[in-house]
Amino acid sequence: MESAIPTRTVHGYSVPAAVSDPAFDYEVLAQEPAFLIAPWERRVDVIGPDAASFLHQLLTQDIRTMSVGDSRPAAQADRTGHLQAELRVFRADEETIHVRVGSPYVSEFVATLEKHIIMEDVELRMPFDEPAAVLFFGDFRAEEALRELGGTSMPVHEVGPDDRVCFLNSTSLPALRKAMEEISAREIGWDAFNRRRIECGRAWPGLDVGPERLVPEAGYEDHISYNKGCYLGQETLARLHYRGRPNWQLVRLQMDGEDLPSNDTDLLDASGERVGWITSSASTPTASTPTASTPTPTAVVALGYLHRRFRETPTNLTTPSGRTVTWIPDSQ
Amino acid sequence: MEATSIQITDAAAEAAVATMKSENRPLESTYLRVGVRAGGCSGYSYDLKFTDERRDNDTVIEHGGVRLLVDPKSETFLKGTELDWSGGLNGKGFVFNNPNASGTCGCGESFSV
Repeated sequence: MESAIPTRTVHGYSVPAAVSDPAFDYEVLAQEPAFLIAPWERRVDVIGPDAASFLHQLLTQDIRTMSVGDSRPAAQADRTGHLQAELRVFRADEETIHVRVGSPYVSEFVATLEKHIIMEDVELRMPFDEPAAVLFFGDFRAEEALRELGGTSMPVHEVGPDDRVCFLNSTSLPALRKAMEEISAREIGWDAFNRRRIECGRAWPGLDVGPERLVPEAGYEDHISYNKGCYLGQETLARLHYRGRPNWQLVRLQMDGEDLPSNDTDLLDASGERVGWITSSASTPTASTPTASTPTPTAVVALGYLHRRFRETPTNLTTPSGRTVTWIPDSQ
Repeated sequence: MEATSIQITDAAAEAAVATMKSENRPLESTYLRVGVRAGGCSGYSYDLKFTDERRDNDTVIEHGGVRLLVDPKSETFLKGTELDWSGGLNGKGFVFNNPNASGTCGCGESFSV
């Protein structure tokens, strides 16, 4: 009897935990072109002569200076600098900007844009009725095949600088899978991607970051331009940047043992004071071979928030059950 | 003029006329367009410019030799607003006293509703 393929629920979508096994998936992701079916991805197109200036006024990133073909990370903040949506912006042509946005954010993002269209000559479109999205990692060779299927892609940075997100109608997904096979790109499941994104410090909406967090707290400093002028939330974010530091900061962590901690596990300093908490974690595939870029094979990697007080004078870090936790600074 | 529409003060009208004259704009064919755009720390910012283009759906408000144009969507944000002129030491320029604004940013350039 065949065993059922384990699945994970990601933003309400059921996705396979692994296509082969997590360890092999992880090896594929590390070494070869790989792809992950990502049904939570959405694309919103902002079209019109004012598209760039409109987004420039509302997002944290400098959009006006983007040339055709440029792609930049961005965020939508509220008036108080709290995260409303984590985005990737791609200038397709002079009057068309594609915004990649995760499904948890898309309704609020579109609603905010719509209520700010007043004098501006822009319109919003969701180009795919039932979008299928694929995250592609590594050397991207599928552009031509994707175009033939009526799809498009844009650069993103999920776990590496060459990553792309591809959008097409869901009816074209079988054909896309076949095209991927022809270019020797292998499909992976959620677990391998999840582990890799935690190792890379990539915050995941709903787990590591939400509207209760200020944009820089989630490690989104590269999503913010500090010299572009005013935008929604700028007053708070500029004050935070020039006059202070975020109290909380999402950081990478490594733990001893093999059990995954729950996502709200407290982090305690040497005096037993709570200095943070864990937001997500992943175990190391046991068959994985250690490399220079991956930690010890038996470690649990995690993301969590640490208070500024601890980051400035770090001591031993433990969980309430006594597990040792190591903070991995960004420089490593 | 409707009671709920935008009002322009004498000081603002005088300042607008003086600017039109200094820019050699013909008073009989120049309008002052006022509107709202996305922008600023609070989300919405005011837009003020001279134009000779009047659209069919614009509301026109005349006072003191100035003809103000407002597009319908902007008007919903500006109903009851008084456009004033400040020549004080703390800043010289047009001032929007907008009862619809629930908050403004520190520099006063933008507002939220």
